[in-house]
Amino acid sequence: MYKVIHEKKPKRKTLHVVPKIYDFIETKWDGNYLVMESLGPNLEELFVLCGKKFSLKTTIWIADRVLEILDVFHSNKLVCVDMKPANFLLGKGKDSNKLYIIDLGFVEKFTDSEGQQFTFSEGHGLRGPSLFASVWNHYGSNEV
Amino acid sequence: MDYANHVGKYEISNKVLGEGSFGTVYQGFSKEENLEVAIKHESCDIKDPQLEQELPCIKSFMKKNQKEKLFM
Repeated sequence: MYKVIHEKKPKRKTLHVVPKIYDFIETKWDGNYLVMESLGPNLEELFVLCGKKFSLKTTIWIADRVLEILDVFHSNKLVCVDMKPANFLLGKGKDSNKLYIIDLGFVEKFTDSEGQQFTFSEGHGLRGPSLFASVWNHYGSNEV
Repeated sequence: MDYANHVGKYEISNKVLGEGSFGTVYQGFSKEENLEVAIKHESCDIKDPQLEQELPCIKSFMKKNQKEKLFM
């Protein structure tokens, strides 16, 4: 039965996880520039825009999309430390029904070069936003 | 809107889209392609540069999931 379901399952739609990158420009005197696709409002702005209340349908859609994005991260053996509503953006124009994640500066691999998962360690200090950090992150343990 | 700076073929406006610990995101525009873009800038005196870490991560996603040309 599972086999049948699996075979009949339509091909997974192409996921829109991160905005398109057009260019990366390095300058010696003025730092680095990353040119990317312009996106719409983030979830925090959207929440305020909607009168600080999302409908059930919207909530479920957001949860579903966030889980899908996380699935892509974790299946690539990556962990996203900087997760917050302000880092999830809707697209613009015809892509306004898609959810993207931005600011991947804190994304880290949770395995070493041999594929072994890192073990628990302490003394790293707080990383990412304090508002959404886990309790153990506040204690200074690693999140990977 | 006045565009004060240029980087490559992109013009950077003084409108700030977002700000974080890393630097600033500005609105930009490419006249050639008539395309609105977002430009993330990280100054060179930052302690631990994030953009260099971010780029390979985005690249790997784009290859696997979008199969689009990275630099158009």
